Amino acid sequence: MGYKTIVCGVTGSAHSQKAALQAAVLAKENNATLVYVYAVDASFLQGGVAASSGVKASLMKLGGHIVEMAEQIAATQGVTPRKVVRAGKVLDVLKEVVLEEKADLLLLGHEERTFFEKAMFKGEVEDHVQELKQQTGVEVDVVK
Amino acid sequence: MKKMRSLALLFSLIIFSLIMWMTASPATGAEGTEHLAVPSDVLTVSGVVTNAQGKPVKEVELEFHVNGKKVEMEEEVLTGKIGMYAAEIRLPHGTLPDATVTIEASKPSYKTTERMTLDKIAPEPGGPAENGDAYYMTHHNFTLMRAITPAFWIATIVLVLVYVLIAFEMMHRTLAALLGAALLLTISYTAGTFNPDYMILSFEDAMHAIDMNVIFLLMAMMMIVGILKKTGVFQWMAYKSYQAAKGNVYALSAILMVVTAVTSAFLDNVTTMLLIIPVTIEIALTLKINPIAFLMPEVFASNVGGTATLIGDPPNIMIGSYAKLSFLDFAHNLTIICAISLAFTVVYYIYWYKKEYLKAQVGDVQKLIAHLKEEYRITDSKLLIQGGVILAIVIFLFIIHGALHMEPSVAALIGAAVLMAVSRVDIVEMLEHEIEWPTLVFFMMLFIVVAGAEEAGLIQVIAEWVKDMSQGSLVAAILMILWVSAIASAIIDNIPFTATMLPIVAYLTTVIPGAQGGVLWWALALGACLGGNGTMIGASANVVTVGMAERAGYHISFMQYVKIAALPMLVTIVFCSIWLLLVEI
Repeated sequence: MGYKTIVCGVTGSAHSQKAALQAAVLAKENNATLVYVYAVDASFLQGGVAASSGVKASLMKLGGHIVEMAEQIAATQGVTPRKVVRAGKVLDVLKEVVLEEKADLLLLGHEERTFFEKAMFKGEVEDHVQELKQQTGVEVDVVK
Repeated sequence: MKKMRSLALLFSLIIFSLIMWMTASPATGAEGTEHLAVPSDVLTVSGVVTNAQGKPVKEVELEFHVNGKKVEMEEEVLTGKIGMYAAEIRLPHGTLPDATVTIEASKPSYKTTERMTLDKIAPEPGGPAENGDAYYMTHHNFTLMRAITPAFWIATIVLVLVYVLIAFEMMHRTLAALLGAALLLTISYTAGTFNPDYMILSFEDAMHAIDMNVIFLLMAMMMIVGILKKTGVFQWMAYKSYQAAKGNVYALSAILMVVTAVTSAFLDNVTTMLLIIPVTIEIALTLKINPIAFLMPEVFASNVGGTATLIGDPPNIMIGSYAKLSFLDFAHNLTIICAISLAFTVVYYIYWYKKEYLKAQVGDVQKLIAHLKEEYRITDSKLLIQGGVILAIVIFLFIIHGALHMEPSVAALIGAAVLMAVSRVDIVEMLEHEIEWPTLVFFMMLFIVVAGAEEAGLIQVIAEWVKDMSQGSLVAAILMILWVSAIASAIIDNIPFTATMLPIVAYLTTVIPGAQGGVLWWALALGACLGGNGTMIGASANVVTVGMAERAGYHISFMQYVKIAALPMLVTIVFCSIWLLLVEI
């Protein structure tokens, strides 16, 4: 099946970089548009200072750096991606971008968490693959 | 319609007349009891009521009996804030000095005393008054013993419940404390109104329990930090650290730790970490090393630095305000041990992460420095100068606040107000976005919950238990407070723990020989602040660091955190033990 637009959620982790690479390979194979997305999600801070402009700006800069790292990975495949850094909850941002870009594939890196981390940070992206599929109607793959 | 109006008018007149009659009645009664015509014996009784720990007890109700018959007083006789009472009893002429006068005291949460005979009733010097009244006086101090009433159990359950809700994050900590405070007041003003055994805390006592010095100090410092944040100075410091390290990763790690510790000593740890973490992650990612290798040392150093000063960490602010300890007291007693702990932290973490640091691909140092310089420059130099100067003045006021008899919160409020006025920053935006209202409300409600436990006697029970466990030994008490605080703070939020410990340590400071110098306060401060380093939930800065690393794609599990941080935390507590026993006693 050929893809026209591939969206890849990225972080700075090694797993995420694997996903970024696979997304770039697929984009090249399919001559598809590649979009890297980083969500600036500070919801775990429960508001407060996290809402302040200084912290947000700082996190946005970090997000910019992370998608630039992914861009360098894509460059190894000769692919020039588009980069999106957006504030919001990870799942919401992914859904928004997939729908906006009319993507037909969403790639995510495997993010392993312990029980305690799941409880602390309220679930993980992989737990919501099914939910993402249903709400966006696109194929969602997790790269391990 | 007209008839209805007339009826309403008549009804209003009746109500008005009733109110007038009711309010006028006591005055009539008072006139009827004037004692101008017949000479009387007038006995003045005064004294102080204390609890078993020697602390004055306020609002104790006193009753007097003469020859077994209760004396009807015109007004209730109650002890004041410092436990003192004074009552004037008018008796028929000739009753004194031979009559048997007894006193009985009662207060919710305390055992009602037996009737105690007032001896040593002596005539006042100067003889009878012109109207023939004979004046007598006597003084009687006594101790009121605690009673285990339903109020005690309710206050205990509420305190434990709040701790559990916070520890297991079953709800936001502010909501947990708010529910606890509301429950205490609800029970006090429902069941407590009809049965004093259920009276836990009056509204006045609840208001009195809120330490506004702590609240204002936190609020004002949040405002100052909020303005400094706008200047980009925190990120700039991280860039400067890299520049100073000149590509040496070990030096970079050490500089980042020292910079974070020093900043945290004067500003809020969480804000410091929130602003330094993104730059740190960016540097780590560029160097191709795991950002955790920089973040863990940074947050550990942040907690160590915060321990060093009165304003560095909320437990210290609470301790300083409660025990009336000055900024210089903290600096004098804690800065050196914190510097020692920081030096150890630097060495330990450089050793711990040496393999990770070896992986660094430093590459073109100048290129990265140029990039960081461009990205993390000071965004508002004028604002930084204004903020820096005001912060320096505030710190100067902190240093001399003891000499000026000025609460630290006043110094911070002055600084915040001047900075707001000078910088012309939007006050509404500042109050809405930079003040952590949930934190301030959490503090207020927590003070009420702990006051409930104190009023009901729970805190005294714990204090007595600690005293018994230490067998009056200062060394045992220091070690108990330090280590229990450290371990407890690693597991539960150190703010409620410190709030609970304040009255306990205050009591132990008065009863344990040698503790009067305040060494137990330093044990509490070191334990509560440094203990938070032990686990990822031990301090707010740890949670923020783990969360931000997580969002950047770097996970650290609870057990990994313990593995990395618990040992150095325990070593710093050993250092503190030695410091307190050898230097502070």
